[in-house]
Amino acid sequence: MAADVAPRGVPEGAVSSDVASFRSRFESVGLRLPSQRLSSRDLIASCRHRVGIDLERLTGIRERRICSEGEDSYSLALDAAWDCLGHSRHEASDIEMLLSCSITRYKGPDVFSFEPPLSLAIREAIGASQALHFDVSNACAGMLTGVAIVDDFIRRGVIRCGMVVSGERISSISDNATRDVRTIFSSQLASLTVGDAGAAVILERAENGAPGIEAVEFATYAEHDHLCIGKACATAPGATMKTKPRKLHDVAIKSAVPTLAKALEKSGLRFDEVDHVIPHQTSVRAIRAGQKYVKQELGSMAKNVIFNLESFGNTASTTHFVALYQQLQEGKFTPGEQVVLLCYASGLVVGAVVFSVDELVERYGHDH
Amino acid sequence: MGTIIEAVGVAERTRGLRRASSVELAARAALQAIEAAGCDPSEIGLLINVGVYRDENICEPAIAPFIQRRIGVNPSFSPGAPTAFSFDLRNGVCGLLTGIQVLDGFLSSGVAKRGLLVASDIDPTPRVSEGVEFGPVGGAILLRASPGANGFTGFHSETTGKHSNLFDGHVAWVGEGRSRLALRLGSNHATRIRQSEDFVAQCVECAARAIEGFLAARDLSLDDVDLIVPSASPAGFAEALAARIDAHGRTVLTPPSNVGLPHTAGPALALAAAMGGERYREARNVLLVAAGAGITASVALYSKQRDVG
Repeated sequence: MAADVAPRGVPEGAVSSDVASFRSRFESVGLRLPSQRLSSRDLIASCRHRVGIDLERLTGIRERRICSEGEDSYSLALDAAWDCLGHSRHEASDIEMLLSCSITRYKGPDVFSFEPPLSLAIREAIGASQALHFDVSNACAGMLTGVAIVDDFIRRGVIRCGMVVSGERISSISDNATRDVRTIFSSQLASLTVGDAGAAVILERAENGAPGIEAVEFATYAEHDHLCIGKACATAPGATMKTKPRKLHDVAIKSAVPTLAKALEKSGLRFDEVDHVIPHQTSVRAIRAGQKYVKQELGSMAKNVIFNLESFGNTASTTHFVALYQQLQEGKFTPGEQVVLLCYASGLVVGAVVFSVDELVERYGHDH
Repeated sequence: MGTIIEAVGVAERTRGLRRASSVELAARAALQAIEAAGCDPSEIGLLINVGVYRDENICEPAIAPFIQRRIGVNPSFSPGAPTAFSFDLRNGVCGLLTGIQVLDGFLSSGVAKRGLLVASDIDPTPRVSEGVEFGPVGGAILLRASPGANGFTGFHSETTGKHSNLFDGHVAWVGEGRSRLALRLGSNHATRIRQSEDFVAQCVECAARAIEGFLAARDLSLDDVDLIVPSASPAGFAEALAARIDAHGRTVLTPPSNVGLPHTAGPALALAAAMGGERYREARNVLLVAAGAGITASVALYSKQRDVG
């Protein structure tokens, strides 16, 4: 039951990047999507006011998954954790650190759970009984913030294996927005782009110089903390989210470039040597505009930009791993390819995780 | 390399504010610590907020950026200027010790030279809450990477998942059946905290096991520890822990009775009270202890030279 974090094989008190330096890698990814689908057309039709917005054309989102009765943040996270273990060589008992990183914390109908942390319930349910556990909250950058923490523990040699998980039942902001959205300029318009999903990822120490996570870079530009705020809804169950989407997008892309540049520099890569970029999935237009700006600033562009929002919308903190999972299942990656997970999230948080794909590809797309 | 405590700040009320604010409490505690350390806020590269019960039940973004902006820790983008990374970490009353562990890692990896931990809780839904007994209290701990051998030298956590029902804190919708007018006027989400009678006793048991496990793994005993500083929350924890493991009252420092009723800021309040005293100044090593919902208990060993605060 103990979660001792004395470093293995490293004298106590001597844990530093100078003494022990390992590399971590993504060993397994897990996914849970609710089965219920909601098209953008049906969502707009359910709006109280005649809004006359072609949401699909505006955002590129044709449909998203939404929770049914009995599904919540916790159940999505737990199912994703199980799926992740199903694709992994590791047993739950190997997991030394387990972080739950969702924005939403529904455990039971309309119960937003704060204590004990959701990571404890997941830890107990999957039997990761030696794992140090806690929750992380960092808007849509939650899972990647979790990755940054677990990566640091693995790099220092403190742990060998950790799991980052998130379940987002975030569609209540969409339900609540349908009562208020009137025009394309509504502060709740962005709430109509979200979808529910659970995702999990296992990180492990990459042995014998194997490739893995090359760089993790983050910055929070808190002067923009007010551009997107989600909180408990005053008049209905669930939450509401108010956003200034254009401003948010503008500052996000501009702020993300130096962080991306720093991550590429640490990885020793030019941007055109990157095979795939998975940006946070907001809208096709926003991603394309961002692409153009980044190309102009960095002077080059990655070979492929991955979009998956057509079928899933913006699944909040899980977005990068939902996309990664789909790509793996469809056999889109080749070992040795370089991938960048690029995030911009309320706060304003910008981040980039650069990694090499390796044997991860072999465990997807065959019998799953 | 070690991670040392530069300063601790505490804010127990937000004078001049109509309502207590978790952001303001954390910010005031943080500014106190920054001032005491004499450091420039731009030198802080990491900020972790571990508070649980926050203003307006905001769930996005994290609360840390609001605090970051309020205290002026690199909030703006400017080419070549230093940046900071901030986020929330939640682990109940153990959050501060877990946060120290995470920051200690990032600092020793060279991510930043200074890191700031903040904790604060308020009652987000004052008129309709149930079981909220903590007061509006904030705490902050400023950490710095140090070239010496002093600093945090070990962490350990112990969890007893079977007792997860002894403390439950959540926000639930309570507006069902209310009229539209009542919905517009009222608080329709209520904060509910349920703490069973057995909770503190089980926290003490879990903490005692964590301490024993931590010391045994290092071939140490309680006699090797100069001072144990238990969290000032939950109420009664420190005193019960002292009675459980320290019959002679030599090692466990219980917080003075004039501190407020903190929740996640409990370890910071206890540390602030301890740091003002002779026993802390004399101690070569200090064991910080916290326990909370889960039940999870965390310990962190801090090694210091005598007379160095």
